[in-house]
Amino acid sequence: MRLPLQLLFISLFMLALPWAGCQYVKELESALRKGQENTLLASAQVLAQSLDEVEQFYPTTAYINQMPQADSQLYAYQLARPMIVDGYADDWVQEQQQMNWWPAKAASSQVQLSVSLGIYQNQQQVSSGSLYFHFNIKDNQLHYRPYQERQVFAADAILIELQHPWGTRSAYLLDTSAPGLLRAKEITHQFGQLKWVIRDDIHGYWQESATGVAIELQMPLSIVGNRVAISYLDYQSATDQVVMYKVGQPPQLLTMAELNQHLQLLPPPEGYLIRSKRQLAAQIEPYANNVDELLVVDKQGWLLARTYRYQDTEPDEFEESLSYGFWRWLYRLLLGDKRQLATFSEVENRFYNEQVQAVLKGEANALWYRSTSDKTKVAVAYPVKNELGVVGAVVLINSSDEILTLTNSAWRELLQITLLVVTVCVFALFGYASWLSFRIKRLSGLAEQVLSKEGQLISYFPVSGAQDEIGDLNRSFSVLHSRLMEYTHYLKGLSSKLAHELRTPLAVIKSSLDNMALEPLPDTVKTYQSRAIEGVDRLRYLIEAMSEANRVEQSIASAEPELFSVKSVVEGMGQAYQSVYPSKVFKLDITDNPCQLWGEPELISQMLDKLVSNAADFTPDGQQITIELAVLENDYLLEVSNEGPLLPETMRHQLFDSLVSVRKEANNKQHLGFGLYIVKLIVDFYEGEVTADNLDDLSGVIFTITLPKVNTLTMA
Amino acid sequence: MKRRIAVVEDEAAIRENYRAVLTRYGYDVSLYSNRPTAMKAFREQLPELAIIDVGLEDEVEGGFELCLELRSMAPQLPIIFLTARDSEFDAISGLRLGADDYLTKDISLEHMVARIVALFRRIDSLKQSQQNSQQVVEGPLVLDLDRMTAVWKDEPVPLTLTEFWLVHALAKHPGHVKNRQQLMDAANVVLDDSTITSHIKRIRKKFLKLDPAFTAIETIYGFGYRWQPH
Repeated sequence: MRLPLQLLFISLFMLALPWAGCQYVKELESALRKGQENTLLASAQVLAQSLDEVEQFYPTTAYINQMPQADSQLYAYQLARPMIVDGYADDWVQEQQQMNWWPAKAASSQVQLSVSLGIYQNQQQVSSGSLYFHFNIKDNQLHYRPYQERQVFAADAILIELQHPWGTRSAYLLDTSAPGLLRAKEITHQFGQLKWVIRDDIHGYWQESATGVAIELQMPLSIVGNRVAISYLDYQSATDQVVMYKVGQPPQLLTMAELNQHLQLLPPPEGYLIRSKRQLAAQIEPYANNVDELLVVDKQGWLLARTYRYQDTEPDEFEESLSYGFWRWLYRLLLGDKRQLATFSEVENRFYNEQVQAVLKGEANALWYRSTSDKTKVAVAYPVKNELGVVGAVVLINSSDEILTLTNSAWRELLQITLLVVTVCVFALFGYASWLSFRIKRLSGLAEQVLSKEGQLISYFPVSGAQDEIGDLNRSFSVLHSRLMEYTHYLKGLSSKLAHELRTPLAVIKSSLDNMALEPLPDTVKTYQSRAIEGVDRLRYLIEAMSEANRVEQSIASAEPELFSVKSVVEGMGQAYQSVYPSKVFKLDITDNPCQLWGEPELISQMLDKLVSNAADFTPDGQQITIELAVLENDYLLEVSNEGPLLPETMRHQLFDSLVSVRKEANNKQHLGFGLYIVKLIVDFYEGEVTADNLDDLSGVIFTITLPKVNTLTMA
Repeated sequence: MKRRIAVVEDEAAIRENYRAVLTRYGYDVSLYSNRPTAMKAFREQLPELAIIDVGLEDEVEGGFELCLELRSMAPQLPIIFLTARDSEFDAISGLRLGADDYLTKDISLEHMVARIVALFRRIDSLKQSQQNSQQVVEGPLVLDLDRMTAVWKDEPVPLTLTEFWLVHALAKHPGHVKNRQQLMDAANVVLDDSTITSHIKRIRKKFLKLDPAFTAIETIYGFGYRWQPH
């Protein structure tokens, strides 16, 4: 993988940054939630402590000790306006829209009774008010009172038993001969006989429905006591018996006598009429604005008071906006808010879920739940206690919208910032990596270029000034290069140095031999002497050859360029070679163009000497050596080709190096491999190029030299 | 009287060999191995010819310095550099310092003696100022073979011995091409081709200095050089 890609990949780890941020926001949220819980708990505690008067919760202290079954309790909902008593539940429905009632029920397989109660009280006249009942009775066999029937029980009827706080009890019976308006009959007893009195102030409406009957009833509050029992009396005409469906009780089959007895005794009703408490409501009112919802429930969870926050603020625009939703969604998605929030059973009149049950045992607690409008809310419940123990509870409900808004905006900010940072970092890293990679690539390019394709070291290796590791690497390369240069120089100069050093001992030998020649010597010694002289001469030739390259370099360095004709040099030399190498056949193919060139003509002739001598050494006797000079567009082309053995492939690149000889055959002439090196030196001096190749027909070897017509020696 | 030759050479074997051959030819040879001892002796008595090695013991260019000092003491004293160094640069340096010749050590003793003889002859003839000296005249060039001096258009050309012999070899047969071997033989030197070339170059330069229109020495590529007949 390329370096930038690697770093790009590694930079992906920075995505942990937003994740960490998420965790932080999550922590923040939970801390805020905890804080909210605590605040609410504190409020709840204060509130609960201020509500310890038991009278505010219950009619009597005895109630607490002997609390009736919740099923037999009746809860009256606070109505906002008086109901139209017509048997239809439309207005109730309207009133109770989206309200979940805790139904007061009594049922058997044939008959079902459900009752809703409501209280309307005029704000100004608290004393005057009405209690409304709405019965929904499922009964497929209705019995109407026969005309002129004098018996108390002769039809299906509603029996309402009441007990006033002061102890007096009364019972009201509602039956009818035909659907329509109802009048209540107050049941009294005189001398063991049940009587009834028509009560005008209690009226209702009997409305038949598809499955039974719906009855709506209005009763002045003044006659309503604190304990109520409601029963539906299903008259059994065949046996003259009555099945009593009392709210909260199992159905009871009663004979008339039993019923009479019951009404004569008129035991106190089981359940109480539970209604919201104005006083409590007034007491909790000041707290109302701190929380979304404030509930006070009694020990059975009946709702005694309830306030809502006054919604005066418009919903935050941001909250409504799409982006808010998006961020929230993303937040929820990333943070994995997977808590299964409890759905809170909110009923309008009874609040008796697990939380409240726990609280009513005396433990304050907090519960997060998802409301029906899909808002996360917290409900904090705190028990209300007095000397009698737990008498009820306050429940404070607050939505966590504030927290959500806070965390969402924190989250949004965080995400935006980290995304920006990550993006910037990724780009920066990528750029940095690219730059590094570029530098390394450049260095590697340089390292590759150190050796030219001819195997020559480049003369200059740029040194980086960068103070980092790549700079160091560059400098190391540079040092390596300069060491290599020095070494190459040393190698190049070695032969001439060697030649120089050998010259002195050679001079010693030579001068000694010369001296010896002047002495009278026996013939035998003279033989040895002449051999020694021969050897010394050969040694001298070798030394001469070794320092030749050096001298060429010197003469190049001290060259004094002049304008000369390459043609005349090549022509003259070419003609001379035939006499020098009489055993070879020379062929000249030289252009008519004078080939004017600036430079040192001697160097051209020296170069040609080397090439021809090289060619001659390889050319078998009688074979041909061709010297060709041609004019190209920008260059002069000089070719020396010879018939003979081909070049070995392996040494092709080193052909022009010093001390390299690719000669295979042993030759009595000494070859140190300087010839072609000198050619290369001279060609370089002329800024030309030299290549060696086999002839196309593989009959021999061709050396091709191109010399640019214009070079740095050219004078205007 | 024997001529006194001073040999300043740090290599004992060579030194002794020179002494042997020069003594054999009848010269009085004094040997010095370094510059201070040589200078000390020269201050007392100047030799008639000095043969100096360039590198002297620990002085890499002690010979050059010695030459400089000697030249300032005796402007007319013939000095020959004899050295293992064969670079063009060293030769030019040596000659610029006023040496009369510059020879590499692999020259044969025979050749060296010939040089010495020739140098002495030049000095002698200069001293004697003979009128009827042996001369070669070729156009504006006059070569005095006794004094070994060259005159071009009545102006003396400051040639070294080697150069003089080369010019002589060319000018004796104007129009004839002399190849390098012939020139080497004439100059009593064993030189490689490039040395001959640089000698010719130097000769041309010396003439050109006197006469910018000088073209008498012609290069025949592949063969050699010839003196353009006037």
